Amino acid sequence: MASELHQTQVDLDGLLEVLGRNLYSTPAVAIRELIQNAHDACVRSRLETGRDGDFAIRIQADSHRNQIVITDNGSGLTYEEVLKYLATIGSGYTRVLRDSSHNEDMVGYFGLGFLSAYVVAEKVEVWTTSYQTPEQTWYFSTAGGKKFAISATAPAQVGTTVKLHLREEFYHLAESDLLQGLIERYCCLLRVPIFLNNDDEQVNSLVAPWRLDAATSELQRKKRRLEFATIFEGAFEPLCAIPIPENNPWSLKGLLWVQDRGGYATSDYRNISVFVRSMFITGECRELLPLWAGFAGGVVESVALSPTASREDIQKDERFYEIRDFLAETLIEGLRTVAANESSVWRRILSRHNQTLLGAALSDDRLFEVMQNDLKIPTTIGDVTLPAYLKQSGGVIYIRNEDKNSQEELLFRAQMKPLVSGYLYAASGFCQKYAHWNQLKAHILGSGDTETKLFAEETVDKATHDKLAALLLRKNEALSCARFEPAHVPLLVIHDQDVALKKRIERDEADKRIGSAALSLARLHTQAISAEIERRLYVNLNSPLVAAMMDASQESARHLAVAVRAYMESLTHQVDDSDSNFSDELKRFSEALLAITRGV
Amino acid sequence: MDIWNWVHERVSALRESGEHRLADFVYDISHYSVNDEHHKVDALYPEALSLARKNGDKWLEIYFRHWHLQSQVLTRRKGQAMLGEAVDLLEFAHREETRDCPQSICVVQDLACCYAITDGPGYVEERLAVAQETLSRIDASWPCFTCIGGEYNSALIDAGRFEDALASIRDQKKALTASHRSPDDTNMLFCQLDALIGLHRYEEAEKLARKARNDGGGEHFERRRKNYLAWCLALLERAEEAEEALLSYDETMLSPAFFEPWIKTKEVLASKQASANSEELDLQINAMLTELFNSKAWRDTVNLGLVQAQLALARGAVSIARLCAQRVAEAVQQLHRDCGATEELAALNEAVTKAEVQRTPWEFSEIEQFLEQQAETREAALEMTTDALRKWPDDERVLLEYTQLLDASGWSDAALAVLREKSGFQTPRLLMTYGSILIEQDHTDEFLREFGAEIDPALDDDLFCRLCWLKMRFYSNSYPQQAYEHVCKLIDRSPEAGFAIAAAARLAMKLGSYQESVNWWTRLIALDPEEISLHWDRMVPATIAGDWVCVRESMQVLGMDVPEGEGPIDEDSIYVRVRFTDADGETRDYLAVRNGPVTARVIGLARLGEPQRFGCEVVFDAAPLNKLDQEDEEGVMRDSEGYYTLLFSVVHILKAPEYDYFAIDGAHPGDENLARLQDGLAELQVHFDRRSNEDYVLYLEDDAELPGVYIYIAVPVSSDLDAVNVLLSGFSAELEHPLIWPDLLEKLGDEAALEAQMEIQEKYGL
Repeated sequence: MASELHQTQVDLDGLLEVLGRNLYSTPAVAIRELIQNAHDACVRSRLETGRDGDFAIRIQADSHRNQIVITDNGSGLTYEEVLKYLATIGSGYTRVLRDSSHNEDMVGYFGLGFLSAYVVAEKVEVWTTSYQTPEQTWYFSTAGGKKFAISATAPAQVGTTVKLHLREEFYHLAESDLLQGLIERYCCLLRVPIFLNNDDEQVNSLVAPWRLDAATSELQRKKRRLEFATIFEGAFEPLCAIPIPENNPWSLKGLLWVQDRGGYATSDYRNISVFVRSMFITGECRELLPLWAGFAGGVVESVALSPTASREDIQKDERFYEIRDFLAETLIEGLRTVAANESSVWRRILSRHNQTLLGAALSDDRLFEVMQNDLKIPTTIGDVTLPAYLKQSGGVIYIRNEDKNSQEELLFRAQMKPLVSGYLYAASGFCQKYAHWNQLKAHILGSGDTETKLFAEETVDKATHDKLAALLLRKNEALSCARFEPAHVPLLVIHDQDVALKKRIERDEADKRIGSAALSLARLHTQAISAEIERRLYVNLNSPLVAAMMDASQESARHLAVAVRAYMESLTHQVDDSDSNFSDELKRFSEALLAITRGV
Repeated sequence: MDIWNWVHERVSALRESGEHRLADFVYDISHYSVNDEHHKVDALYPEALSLARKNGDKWLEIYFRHWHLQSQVLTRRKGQAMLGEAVDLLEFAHREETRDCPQSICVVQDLACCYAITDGPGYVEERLAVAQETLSRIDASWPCFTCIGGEYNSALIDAGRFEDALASIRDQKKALTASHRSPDDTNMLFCQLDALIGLHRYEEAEKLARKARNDGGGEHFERRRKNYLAWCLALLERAEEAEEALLSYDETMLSPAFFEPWIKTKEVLASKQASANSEELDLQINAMLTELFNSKAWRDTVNLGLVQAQLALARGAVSIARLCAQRVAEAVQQLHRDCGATEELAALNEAVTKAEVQRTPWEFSEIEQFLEQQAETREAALEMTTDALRKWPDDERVLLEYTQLLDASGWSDAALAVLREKSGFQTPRLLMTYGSILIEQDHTDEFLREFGAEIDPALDDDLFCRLCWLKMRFYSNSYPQQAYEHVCKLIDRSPEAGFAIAAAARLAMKLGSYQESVNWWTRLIALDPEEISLHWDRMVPATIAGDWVCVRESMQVLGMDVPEGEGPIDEDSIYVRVRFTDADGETRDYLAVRNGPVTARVIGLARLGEPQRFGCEVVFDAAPLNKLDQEDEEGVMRDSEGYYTLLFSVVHILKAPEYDYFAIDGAHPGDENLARLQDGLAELQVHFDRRSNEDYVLYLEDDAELPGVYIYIAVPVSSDLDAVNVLLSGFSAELEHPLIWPDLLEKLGDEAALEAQMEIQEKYGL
């Protein structure tokens, strides 16, 4: 038959544009699609002819000529099939897609896959000999995809050869290393052997760990899992691999792993590759892993997952979410097992992902249960586990949620108590959860709740109280006598935040800044705050300085009181305002000291 | 007005200046907030705020505080708890330097929301005024327009002005369209649904709920929409579809914003007998109501509490209905304005009273009859116990049954209320229940108030002991000293209380009072000599305390070979590994030799640079941390990590001799020579540890190869380092290929020798 020239049956300009830009996110997908076609041709041959064995796919990459040649010894195509599958693009693809999806053995959707060749190649040539007409070989070629030529050619072996003349921007696809990597990953579950560049070694020889022979020892499985994970993880080494339990409702098989890398708590390196019917669909389906698992990777295979039209993603249907939940369970159980049985791996997981796991443990109780005693929290004595922290703190957790000095903090530091830096990621929440679970006391500095517990007020006679008040109090302040350790902290000044807020909101000047209706709402709240006392002084009756103040002459006591008050005040002074500023406090301290010295 | 513009710019600027963490937090907080990932909001918020403040970035401070409030107030309904923060932020966001921050508008909404959640209808006038005032500051081009507009509409709905709300929504949609903005918005949608449901226009509501989409609304929007859709379907009597659309209980618990449509859907379905009005449903609704009540969402507590009560009445669970009415009454008292709540409560109380009268009461002539009677369900048991309580209001057994049933029904606060009232009875078991619930519910202040005072020694033994036990439980984790004191008092009164003696032994151990711990274990062993595992417990403190008589005795009981003689046991047996915990909680394992039942001596060296424990003598916990339960190829047992030795956790370090550690490197001098070196070093008390195997090969410059050797030595700090150096120098000088030991020379400060060894190092490529 003479060469015939045909018009492809759709507007290819538009379609290729759509395909190239939108349907396929990476040109490498074209290679995947063509290998898949070759694989399907082999499966088809097995199904229709009963032939078994000796199937192979051979790929030649020529980076000098910028060509890729893919040859299979599968079913081949008849003249009609060439027209039907290679030439009828777009208009027929939906139907083909639907029809072929009924066949569980065929991984691809013949027709559409071939279309992707046009995305990367400026010219495509095909030689095909069908097992149905073994004496007849057809040559099909197209440049740019718009028109194609088909002609009979010298008879060849049954099967198909596709030659891609790559577009300039895709020349890199013909690099052997790149192709090797692509085949290893994309085709590792395909059972037809694939060979690259006349090499006798099969490229897709990697056996998925869940397909290993039943007799394989557990130790061997462990090793193979890590090897497999390493290939799929790419950027990071896996720390440990967790097999997905089989016999689940979705015929889900695969492997999860924890990455060996550092990172912020908020870094998200979730990475999961999904195979459907042995064919690689996507490596970008991170939503299948729980949000907290920014350190996890995985490979899964399941017929229950449905690819999208481009077969580069998975549809978010009900089964997708069921599988997502199941994978979260698997990961938690896996981590639990590692914690119990592989202490050195577990320690590496903890040290790599401490901060992420702190956040994750807040979201998931079972994770928390597994790692509550092993994760480290930031404290004033460095990053420590909570059991280690509690050894030093004596059993109570002290948390400062703000990164600024306060008088309460001063007291704890004077007591040599370590403080948790609750203003760092997840630390405060984790410690509070830990306290709740373990029936421990947690004090949050500045929350008001420490005050009443720390300073049990002690009743003193009125004269003592009045004398101390006269010596130490400033405007809008009250005095409480208490006893606390250490004795060398003479007093503490605790600010009442509510009263400070009331003062700010009820100032006349607020009217000018805040809308009247909004201000009224705000004042509804502050009007309910009755106290006028802005600061409360807790005077330590254990302090020898306080005792000295009581015993000294009126003048000396006054100087001592000013010095003590100004000294303590300046230790945590934050903001200069009309009531107090740092320089004045130091000045008071200095003058009072001088007066005392002169007095002596 | 694009209120996100400055945010994007600020994030770019932060990234340019290398502040990636803060930049990440900016988008994370809003993302997590709209996706109901509130734990993550809580996790990052303190750090984000602290970083923004450190940078002096007040706009970002407003931004973070606003999103934190969104998470706390809008989705978790903590209106009252966050009111102070909302007011504080309002003031902060209206200062000279912050008032131009677009999010200062959002802050007004946060404040209005606090009131709406506390008592929406009660604050209608104030909320309308605030919304109007704020709307006058912006136009429909602001994203805030829909938030504040939504707040306005929601106030109209709370006022029952459904038609006005729909008209307002229409106007707002027009304004949005005129500003080229999409009129479909989250805030609008739920108000519109509320209004349509309020007007019984269920079909319209269902259509609206079905088609609504909001791309920026995250999972929170989608979940809320589903519950609303379910509610509409239930009202349209499409029960099956309603059940299908309705979120699960667990998912609904993610945010109180989902509670109302969920409870109301269940209410409609139950009233049409389309789904079960069960005890389980009550437990679920009660958990929601408890959360609303605890976060002081008073109006929702009233409205949904009435629904819970009606469902209980329909089930015949009159006691539950009474409890609901009591909680509603408490909430009614907190409302800002009544708006008909009192009337509804009165009607409920009347219905409950009527049901109480109509119910056939349980009749018991004797209390034993009650105690023996089994009710079929938990709620029936509660009814029965309520009747019994009426008859015997002060009987401890009835009260116990009653309060425990309340606790199990999710009414622990009601149980506490009863117990508070009866705490004057001072009956041991009631007090125990009271104190236990306080401990479990974290009511620390109340516990200290009620149980904090010293226990009156005049109390009878039973009561005294139970109080001691309660206080020991309260103190045990955070305040072991106090816990110990209380358990000791208990044992004084009840010398044979085994559980208390065991607790005392453990607490003494925790407090470092090892001999006391031994004594407690000995006492317990005497009480229960059959329980031989107690000897393992005793062995640890006994070894630490050096009580060898005890150790030997326990070994004998446990069937171990007891070395002859007296005093310390120090006989090397098997290799083990021991796990040390550093001050920061980090753990490290070392090879050791077991030299007593619970003691071992470290013989392994860690890599140089890592903490060394050579020679440490330790006491370990007798329960191993691993199991040798896997067979290797040759059938030898090992653990899951491939170790052939048992691993024990170090409890106490008995001796920690100090050593200096050095490396020796070079060509292998031959086995005989090496043995000679090892012997020579041993005479100086230096421990020798060959680290390399035959794989270690030196490559010389002329491509020749030589077998190498790499050795660690541990030198006691008391040893004469010079003598070691002399020995090594003498030995090396005799060799064809010399060895090097630069760390040791460096320590000695021998510059000349060091330099010579550097040359050797280079020559042999060491």
